[in-house]
Amino acid sequence: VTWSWFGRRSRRAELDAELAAPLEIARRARLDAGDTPDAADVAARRELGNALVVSENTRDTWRGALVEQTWRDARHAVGLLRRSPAFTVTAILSLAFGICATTCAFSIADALLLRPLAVREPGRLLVLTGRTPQAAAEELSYPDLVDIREQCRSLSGMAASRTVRVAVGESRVEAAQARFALMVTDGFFDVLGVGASVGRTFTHDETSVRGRGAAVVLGHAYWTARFGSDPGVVGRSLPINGVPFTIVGVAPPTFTGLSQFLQPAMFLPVVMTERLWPHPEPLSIFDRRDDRAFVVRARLAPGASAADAARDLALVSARLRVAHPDLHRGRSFHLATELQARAGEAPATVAIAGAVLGLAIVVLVIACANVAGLQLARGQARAQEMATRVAMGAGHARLLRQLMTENLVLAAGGAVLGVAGAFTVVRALAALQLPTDTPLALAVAVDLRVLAVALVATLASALVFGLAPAWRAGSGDLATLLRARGTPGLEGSTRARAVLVAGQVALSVVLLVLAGALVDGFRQLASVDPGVRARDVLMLELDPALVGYGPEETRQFYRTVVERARTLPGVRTAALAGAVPFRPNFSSREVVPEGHPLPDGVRGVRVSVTLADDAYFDTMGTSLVAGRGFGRGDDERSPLVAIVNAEMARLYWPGAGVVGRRLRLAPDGPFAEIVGVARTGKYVSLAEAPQPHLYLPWSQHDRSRLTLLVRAHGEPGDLARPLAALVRSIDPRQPVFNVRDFQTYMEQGALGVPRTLVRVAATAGAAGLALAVIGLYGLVAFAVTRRTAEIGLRMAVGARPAQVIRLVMRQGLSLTLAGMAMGLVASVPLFHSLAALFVGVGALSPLTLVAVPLLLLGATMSACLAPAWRATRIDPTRALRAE
Amino acid sequence: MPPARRDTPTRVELLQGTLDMLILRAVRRQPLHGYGIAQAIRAGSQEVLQVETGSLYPALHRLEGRRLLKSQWGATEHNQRAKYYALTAAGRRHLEAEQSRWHVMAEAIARLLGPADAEASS
Repeated sequence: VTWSWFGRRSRRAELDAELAAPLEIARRARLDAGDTPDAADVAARRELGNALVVSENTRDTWRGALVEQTWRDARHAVGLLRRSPAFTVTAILSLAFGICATTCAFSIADALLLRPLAVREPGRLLVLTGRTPQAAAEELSYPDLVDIREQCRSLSGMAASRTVRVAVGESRVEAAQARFALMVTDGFFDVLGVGASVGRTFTHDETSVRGRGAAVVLGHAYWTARFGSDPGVVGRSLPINGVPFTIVGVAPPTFTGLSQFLQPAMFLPVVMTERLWPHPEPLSIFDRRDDRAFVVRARLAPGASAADAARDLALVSARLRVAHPDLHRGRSFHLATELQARAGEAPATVAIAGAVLGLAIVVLVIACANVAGLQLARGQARAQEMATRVAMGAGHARLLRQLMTENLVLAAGGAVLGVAGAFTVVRALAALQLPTDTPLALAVAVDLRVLAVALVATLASALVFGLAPAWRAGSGDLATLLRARGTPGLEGSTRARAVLVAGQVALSVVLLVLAGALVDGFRQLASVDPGVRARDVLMLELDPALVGYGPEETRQFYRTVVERARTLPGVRTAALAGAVPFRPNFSSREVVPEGHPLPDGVRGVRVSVTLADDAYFDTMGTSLVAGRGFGRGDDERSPLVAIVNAEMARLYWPGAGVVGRRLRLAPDGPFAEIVGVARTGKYVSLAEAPQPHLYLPWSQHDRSRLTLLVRAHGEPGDLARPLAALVRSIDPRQPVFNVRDFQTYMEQGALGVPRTLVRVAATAGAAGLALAVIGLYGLVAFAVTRRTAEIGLRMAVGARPAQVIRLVMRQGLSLTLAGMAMGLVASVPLFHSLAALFVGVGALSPLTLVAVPLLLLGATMSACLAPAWRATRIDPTRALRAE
Repeated sequence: MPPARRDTPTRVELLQGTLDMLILRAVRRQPLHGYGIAQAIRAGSQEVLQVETGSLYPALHRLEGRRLLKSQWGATEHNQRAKYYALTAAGRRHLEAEQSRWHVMAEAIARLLGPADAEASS
């Protein structure tokens, strides 16, 4: 850079010399022709014209002139902007608001939905799932994988994995910790094209021979958190479920598994399954066609298209339907891109991402309108400057370019501030934790992709807010511009600003109404009865299978835990549950209610299930409306029993006494007798409609992972330590996880996401309002300056201050009212489409429709007050003299 | 900055693009400096065509940038330093092409204007 600038400088010196030469030559010629030295000098100068202009025009023809001109314009722009700090600060802050909002929104959408996997050629890696009439996408079984691998030539490889929870002994002194691991198939890392950042990934030997490869690849975040990024861990042994594994490598930081939500701590070869869980089931996962638990990514073979692969897969599923008609009837394989799969998996994330982006773009548009308004005002003040430039021979295009450079300088200022703000906000967002020990992969971060979007937003806004005013300023006719002394096009331009301000007000109304509705909905949600009493309850989770317990040992272990917990001081009651409300980890079951007619081909109804013990209903405060709760006598040897909730009773046994009726626990399963009916509560979300729910006694159904719920006499948190000690005294290897105050857990779990949504909407609304107020203030203040003489005259002929204030306020008020009307009209249909997207948005309450306009009126009127007051201080004599 | 000079209405303004051709033609026999080129065009057109310094130097630099002209510092007859411009081989080819194009156009325009108009204007 220095060199080329240096080169430019010397070239410029040469040009100066070249342009000086003809002056001398011409003077000499004049002298030879007999002129006096003075006359010759004047004549030569006149003949040659303005050397500065000639020099500038000549330099414009050089290569790189564009850069030089732009640089010159930019410096000029910075100088100009520094001379009007009020304008500059307002404009830059407005833009910073808009760019910050857009950047944050995109980083959220990116983390939720858009960011591609950090793998080789992500475009050729597809999500492979099973598809049935009931489920659009379900996991595949291991035998499915083997069949596809053997028969599908258009796929070069598949990376399959299943998520499991393992107990990891990270140190000798601590009890084992429960961690998520991805059990991966042979060639997993090679198919993805992910290498290790330290050490290596698995060898073929480790991932293909059953029980051989006790090797583990650590996730990067886990390695950082637990081993302090020590590269020396490679080669060390790590006990997992009691089996010593050798750490062979660490995954790169960019690769956090295949889900955008769940980040596994480590990767294990799937062939180690039987050594990690030694209690044999009749068939292993490698042989069971109905054990569908593998999430699969398939890579297209070189030259093959997705359509080729789909054709191959259709053949495979046709063969499977013949070979295994019972398991594969109506089942096919389906390929989807990563984005399609994510959107299909969680449509709500699409809605959230879209809503957040939409809100942010509205804020950005308001900010741009604001700056455009300010620019128009300045354009009026700068008409003379522009006229002078036109007079000096600057072309229209040249002027436009200079103004656009100014806009870019402004936008760049806004971008720097906005992105800095985005960093702060995003860091706060990333710190948000959902109430589980699950390490979230949801990495909201400002990265290059996000910065690219910020850049686009900046350029787009510079174009949007700048082009119209620049065009206006550049198109003025020279003579009129010069003659009019700085007031050309004033009326039209003020009208444009008024439209902009009214539009801003309208958009803020929309934002505020949406925010208000969300707040309303949130308040309604918070007052919904969840059906459980959460106060004074502590929850903690246990999973003895992690340390190799079989079903009988597990039952014994839990009985001991509950009995001892009930005798702990400070414990009122203690209960076991298979799941707790507001975490979507209920198992569901296909059951057959006896006597309920089912349509043809439907073998049962799917309901969510909670395993519970005899103290569950008491501890959770869920009342029974009929029959009894579970008793100590309901155990593995006694007849099967069940409790249904009132909604389930109403759906399948309407109008009849339910207690004493029976249901099958699986389409071909055994009957259980219904012994009680519980009140219907909320299970997954506070906003849900009444759902059928089934309770089964834990002792009659094997499940290793249960939650211990303890109702305390005092502060439940105080029980955490004694309870952990109690578990360790039974078995020191036993991991204890998700220890939480149930009340806090429930608030975060049930209200956390809606609360975040409310905050985002409220922030967007506040930002929009602030920007609209700034815009209105600017317009009214400008109008007062322009009407100084008029106001001075009015005061000279006896207008009182109150009248002057009214005069000024009238303009602001009419704009506000116009904008408000537009906004209210627009927000009602908008609200309805939003309500259709999100459950629990609530209804548009009349209060919101009254409160928002009042708030807006107050804010805008105070924005007009300052200039109005200034108008009353106008000194009539001075104002009139200035004219 | 002081205002730029305006053209006086009596002088004929150069058609767009013809300046380049005139410059190339001016230096086809010997290298000339910028002032000399302006003089040559004025003298050659019997004072009808006047080349503004403000257009001349940008044009010279543009032509040099397109490698139609090459420049070298030299001395005038009064021993003043000046930059001399000479035609390159590409410049010569360009000049020939432009001249023939110009003749075709000039004839066509003359035909269009016709003898009646020509008489009327004389």
